[in-house]
Amino acid sequence: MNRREFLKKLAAAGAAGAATLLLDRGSNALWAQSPSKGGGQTAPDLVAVKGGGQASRLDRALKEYGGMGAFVRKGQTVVIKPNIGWAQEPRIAACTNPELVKRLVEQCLEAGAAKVWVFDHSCDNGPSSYRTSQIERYAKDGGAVVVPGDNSSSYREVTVAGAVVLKRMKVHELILEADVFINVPVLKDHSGAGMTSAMKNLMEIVWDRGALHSQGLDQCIADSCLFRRPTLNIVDAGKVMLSGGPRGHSGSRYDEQQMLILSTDIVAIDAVSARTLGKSPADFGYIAKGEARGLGTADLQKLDIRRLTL
Amino acid sequence: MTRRRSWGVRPARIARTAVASLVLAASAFGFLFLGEAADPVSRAVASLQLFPAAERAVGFLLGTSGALGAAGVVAASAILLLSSVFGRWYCAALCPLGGLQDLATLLGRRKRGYRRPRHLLRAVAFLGFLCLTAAGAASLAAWIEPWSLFGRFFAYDLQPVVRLAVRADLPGRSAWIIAGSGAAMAVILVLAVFSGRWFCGSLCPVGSSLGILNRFAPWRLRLDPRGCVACGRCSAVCRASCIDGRETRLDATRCVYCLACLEVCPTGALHYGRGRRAGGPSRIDAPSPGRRRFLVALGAGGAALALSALPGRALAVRSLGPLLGRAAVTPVTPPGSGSFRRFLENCTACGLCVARCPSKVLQPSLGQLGIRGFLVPRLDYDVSYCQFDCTTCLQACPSGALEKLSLERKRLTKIGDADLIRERCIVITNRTKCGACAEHCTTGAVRMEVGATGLPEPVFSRSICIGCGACHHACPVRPQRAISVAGLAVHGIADRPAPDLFSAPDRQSSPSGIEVKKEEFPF
Repeated sequence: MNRREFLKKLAAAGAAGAATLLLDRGSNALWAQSPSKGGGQTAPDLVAVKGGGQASRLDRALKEYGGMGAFVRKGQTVVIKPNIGWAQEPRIAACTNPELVKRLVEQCLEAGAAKVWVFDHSCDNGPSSYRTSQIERYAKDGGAVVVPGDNSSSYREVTVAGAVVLKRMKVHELILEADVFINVPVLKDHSGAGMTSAMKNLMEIVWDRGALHSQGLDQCIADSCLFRRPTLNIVDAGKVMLSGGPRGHSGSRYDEQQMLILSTDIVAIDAVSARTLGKSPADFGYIAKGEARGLGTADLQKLDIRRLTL
Repeated sequence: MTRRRSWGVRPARIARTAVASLVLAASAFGFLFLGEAADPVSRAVASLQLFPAAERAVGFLLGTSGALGAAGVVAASAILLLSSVFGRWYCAALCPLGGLQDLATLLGRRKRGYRRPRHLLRAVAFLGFLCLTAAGAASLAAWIEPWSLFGRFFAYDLQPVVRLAVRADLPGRSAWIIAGSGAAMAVILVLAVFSGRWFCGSLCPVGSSLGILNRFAPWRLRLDPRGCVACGRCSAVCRASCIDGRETRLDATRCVYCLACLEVCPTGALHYGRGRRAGGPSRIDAPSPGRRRFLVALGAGGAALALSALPGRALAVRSLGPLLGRAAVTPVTPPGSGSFRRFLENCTACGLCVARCPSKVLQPSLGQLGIRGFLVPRLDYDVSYCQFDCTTCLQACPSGALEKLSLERKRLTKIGDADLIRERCIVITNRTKCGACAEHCTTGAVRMEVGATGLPEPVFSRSICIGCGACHHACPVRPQRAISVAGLAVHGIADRPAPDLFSAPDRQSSPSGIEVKKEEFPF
């Protein structure tokens, strides 16, 4: 080996190491903690935007972080996990608003994402839920690749470090593959868990939901959030279903909040969601359990919350 | 006397190959396609199949099938009428199993020969088929019926291969179902390789019916003995083995109109058209004793069918039903089937609804519906549940076993009843939150209300339950579920949920009692 070869190899190894550090999945959580600042000020812990439309609320919220570039770097792959649980139309607000999903996909691509995937493990039949919720169409319009979540062969067995009950589970391969993981649930009433927002939405990256119910729902919701912390959580609180959730029924009551909540802290965003639903974070066991596992802070007094109106 | 070849043989052969290929492709597509969109061509092909159409027609005559049955009367009579005037073209063009056998013959010997007809076998097969159908066991009868045989093989043997290829999940099915459907098709295709369309001329009840009509059709494929030079070329190409070229004989009951003989006949003695009045009768017109027996048997069978189609059928079902088996727990049959009994009488178990069902809740039965229900679909809530806004199976069914209910009506059709056993529910036994049943319930029949445990506990309203099985499927309790759904022997109509079922304010008020003003941030 001559000197030139040695230097070449050294450079290559260095680049590979740097790339590994950059692409390491664990590092997403680090970025999430310290995103680049927008407008010279520190990044907030949580942003809530009221008024306007789905797309303009998202744009405004991201501006507080200096844009989507704070979360998505050029050439990275992104997986977006909306709530597409039910074959229900957007007016029922049982699934994440399709316009919000579309704008989110566009934001990721504008930030230079190499690929944006969208999937959910629907409760109702997968293709009908994708179609009826209109998320499939809107996400594709935005430039995303919509991936089925109803094949067991797409799920990989993993161990969950720090889990209390759900130590092993099967998660969707995209959660393992993507560089950036964005959780974009809809906030609504839930007959079993009381409320479904950011934490509950991560149950659907897991294959065997039945096991989650039988082993204690609150702990399992907290545990399913431990495997991979989302880079970003965005809660659609535009039309909030107050009763008859999660599926939504003809008699369901709604609250037109016209709000979007955005945070890197999944516990904080659920605490705020609880307040939005007219309840207290203490009403939901999984919020406390998530906080206990170090997933975030439920004490809103300790957080830098930006409340913006359009 | 020598004649030149008939006009238009080549175009006719091309046309028949084209139609047969289209029918084969469309039928295969209907059974193999995994997407949701139902395509009109495969649906049209399915609706033109003679036995399913006849089943719909019988349903209409019995008064158990409405508009769909009337369409069946039209389709079945059109096929029978056209065949009795113009011959047995159906088997050449519209039968997908015929097309599949034609493909298999390509693998076999090129040189064929005449075979004597199997009159006894044909008569026994046809009568057995009629008796089973009349006894309300259409799915058992359909073990020799071409559309259902084709469907079972494609739905239960080939669709899983497609699913594997695209990494879609395989529904767990008994090996008996896969093997039974596959073995029947294997026998037919092996026979096709070695003996051409033997099945069509010896076992197929559709072939037997149309063969007899062809025998007396004014326009049909004929062999004129005066022009025949007994060269035997026709026998060598006949896949139905029905022409004896040396003896100048054509068995019109077995001819499947492939037209291969017309193309090779050097003299034009084989031709399609009306018989020529001049000259003596062709050999075909002299019935043999065997053929006479067959005709008598067919006549008797036809009379039996006509009789059984009316009250006799119900009587036969009632007397034979218990012998043919009955399940312990009433299984759930699809919406549109009306009742357990009506479904078993009409379903030919072709598997098209199973193949099309998007949620895979429809599964072929092994013994759950009794012996006569082998392969008849039922809703298996261990696999999935019936989707609220879906009518795919109703649109697909070609036999009229499933009535085409409107979506509005299907949503209210009560096919079963849930049974909630609180002592098994984990909210009660483990003091843990769950609510998977209520979460999935489409009508609000299962809801969560805070009970003695201080947790939301399931409550059940029978009157608005439609039996879709969503709660059953979602319930995590094993081995026996806390909520399970049993079928209704006779389907009903569920009540509409009360408009304020989910809007009663007291039940939904916040435990912490926090009031939110609209314009403010709630935190």
